[in-house]
Amino acid sequence: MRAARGAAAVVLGAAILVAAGAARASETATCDLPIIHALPGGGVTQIDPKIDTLKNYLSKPPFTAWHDFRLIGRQTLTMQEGGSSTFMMPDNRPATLTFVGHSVGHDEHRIRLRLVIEHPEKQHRVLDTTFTLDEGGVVLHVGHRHDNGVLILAVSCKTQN
Amino acid sequence: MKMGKAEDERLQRYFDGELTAEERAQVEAALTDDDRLKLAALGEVRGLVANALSAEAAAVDLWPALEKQLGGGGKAAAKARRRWGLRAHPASWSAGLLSMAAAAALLFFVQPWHPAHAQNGCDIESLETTGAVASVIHMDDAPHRGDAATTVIWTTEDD
Repeated sequence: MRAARGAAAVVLGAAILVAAGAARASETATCDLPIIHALPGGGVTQIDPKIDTLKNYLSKPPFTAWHDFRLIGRQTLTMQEGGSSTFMMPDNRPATLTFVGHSVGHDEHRIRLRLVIEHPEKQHRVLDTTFTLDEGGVVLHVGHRHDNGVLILAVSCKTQN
Repeated sequence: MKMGKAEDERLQRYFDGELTAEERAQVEAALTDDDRLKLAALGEVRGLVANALSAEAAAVDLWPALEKQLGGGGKAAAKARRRWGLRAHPASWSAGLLSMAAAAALLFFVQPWHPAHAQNGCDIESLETTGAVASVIHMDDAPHRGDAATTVIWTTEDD
């Protein structure tokens, strides 16, 4: 009887471990990457209503040099942990976002990402960065000159949990 | 914008928000890519200074200096005793002063009437560029409008 109980406990423990492992393995991140074209414009700052959530970022320095912010692309990427997604920027540069990992601490969920942007003509990586941020936090990449303005790529991700 | 000492100063005043709306418009109309890069750099420096000041403030212990000024039965202490009737044992009013100092430090450095800056908790672990220069700017949610902080990775490519 005692042996049977012990075996049952072992089986239960193993089942819990397998279930936890399965849950861990199925970690998925959904990322929202609006691509904004910032133009000098003039007069009153105009921000595309579709990027209203970024309005407060874009209406203060160092973005006050531009007055016209238009959403010209948007990527919604869903990735498994360790997975990558590649998409094209409007200036035909391939950008790759990798969901490196996810950590859960006391009262916080943090997500680790890698962003690579390549220059196909010069065959080099203009940017290769790895960063960790709170889930739902925003990182902005600015710098590619495009059609009399610059491109701004916003990155924000959340896991399914 | 043509760069000289005066123009640099004007750009700095623009960054500090010291210009009138008309002057701001003039500066913005004349901004070059170099100016924008300079503004980004100024933002980065401001972030670094703010972080350094926060770290310094966290390390400040006001009590030894207050104790030196107020303790030891000097003229100031005697005057304070006469004025405020501090006749209790020094240890008891030291505790009171310590509490006051702690409260003052809390009010001065923590400023609980201001909501804390929201953070995005962003840590840049690695940043490599080829044919470009990169700056990282951490933007707080000032002036406390409730929007979260963000981090800007700004690359300026070589021509």
